[in-house]
Amino acid sequence: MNYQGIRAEFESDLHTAYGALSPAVPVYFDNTFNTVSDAETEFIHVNLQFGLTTETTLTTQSDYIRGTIVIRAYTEKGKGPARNQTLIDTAVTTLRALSNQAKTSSGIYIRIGALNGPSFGTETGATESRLALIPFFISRIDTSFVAQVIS
Amino acid sequence: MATVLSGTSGALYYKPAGTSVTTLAISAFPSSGGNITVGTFLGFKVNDPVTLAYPSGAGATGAIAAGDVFVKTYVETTGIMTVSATAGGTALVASAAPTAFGTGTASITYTAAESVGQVREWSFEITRSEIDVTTIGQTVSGTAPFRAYIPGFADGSGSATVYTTDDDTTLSSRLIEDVIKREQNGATMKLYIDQILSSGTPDDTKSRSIEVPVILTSASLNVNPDDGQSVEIAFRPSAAPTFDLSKS
Repeated sequence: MNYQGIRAEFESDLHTAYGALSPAVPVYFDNTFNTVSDAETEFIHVNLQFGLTTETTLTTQSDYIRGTIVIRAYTEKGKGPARNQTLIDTAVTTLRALSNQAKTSSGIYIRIGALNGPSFGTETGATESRLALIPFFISRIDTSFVAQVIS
Repeated sequence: MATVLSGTSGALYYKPAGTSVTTLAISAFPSSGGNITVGTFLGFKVNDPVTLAYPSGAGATGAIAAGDVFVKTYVETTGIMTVSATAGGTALVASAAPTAFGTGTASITYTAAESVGQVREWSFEITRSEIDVTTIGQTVSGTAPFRAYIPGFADGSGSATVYTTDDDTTLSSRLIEDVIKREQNGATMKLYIDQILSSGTPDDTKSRSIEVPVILTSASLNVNPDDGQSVEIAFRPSAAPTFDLSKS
């Protein structure tokens, strides 16, 4: 099992992709402080959750790593969805590229499931709600993934 | 620790129907020009990768050289094929016919199975018939006598579901057409359980797969407003499968 390696596959690609934008857009991963200043108007949050990561047999357990990844793009409120959707598109492109990488004889092999979103919450209680008292317009994509650490 | 493979490690590769001719006599090859008479109404298409092989001991001086080539042209009604060294290249021509086939024959076969395209899933079932050879008159004991069986013929069946995409160059289109192809020689499924790629092509040493010559028995096209378009293909073995379930 190599949770950190699998996480790195996602996070490094997303970090690189958003860093390559002009201007670069800050990305905050799990357990990193969002130190964005009040003047900052757009950033990305990435939340990766592992789900079931083993299968049990009668006598032992085997690796079978599954999880979900949720990416949220934060942009200025009251400016329409265009910029937000442009930013979230980078995440979609990155995840799809990651999922198109060939399975080789070593390393970490990842395939994502069907992409859900971008969605924009409509309930006042929803994190991404456009009505919530958050000074950002927020979109969300999420997908499941399976990963194999090839040795 | 062992790792359970998910379905995403699999793949489906295919050699089209009607792309295996293994009984070509010397008379099928030209002494000049590039026309090879392979037979009528086969499944060859332009730019198909094929392998030309002469029988052991044959002379090929001046003849179209044996090896991996591409179909340049193929006319179903005449059975005439020309081949080129590269896809879309100029046709290879002979200055002499091959010689000394003896009792052997030449062959032109699809070089290697190729990726079908957007395969959603495949399944393959192998079965074995059972022959009841129970006899009466067994020695009585405290337990009931069991029936006795011996294995009979093997059989199998398979299916694959393929999404229809806007790419018309994938072999998935061939799969559909091949169902009604009268001549299905050469149709072969390569069912990867764990496909390892090396430089973009399958590493068949490290990959695990089942290769099976098949007959295609049905194609079920599904087109409705709610789902992605897909085609379900059914097939069954026409000969024994070859299992390569080893990673080395």
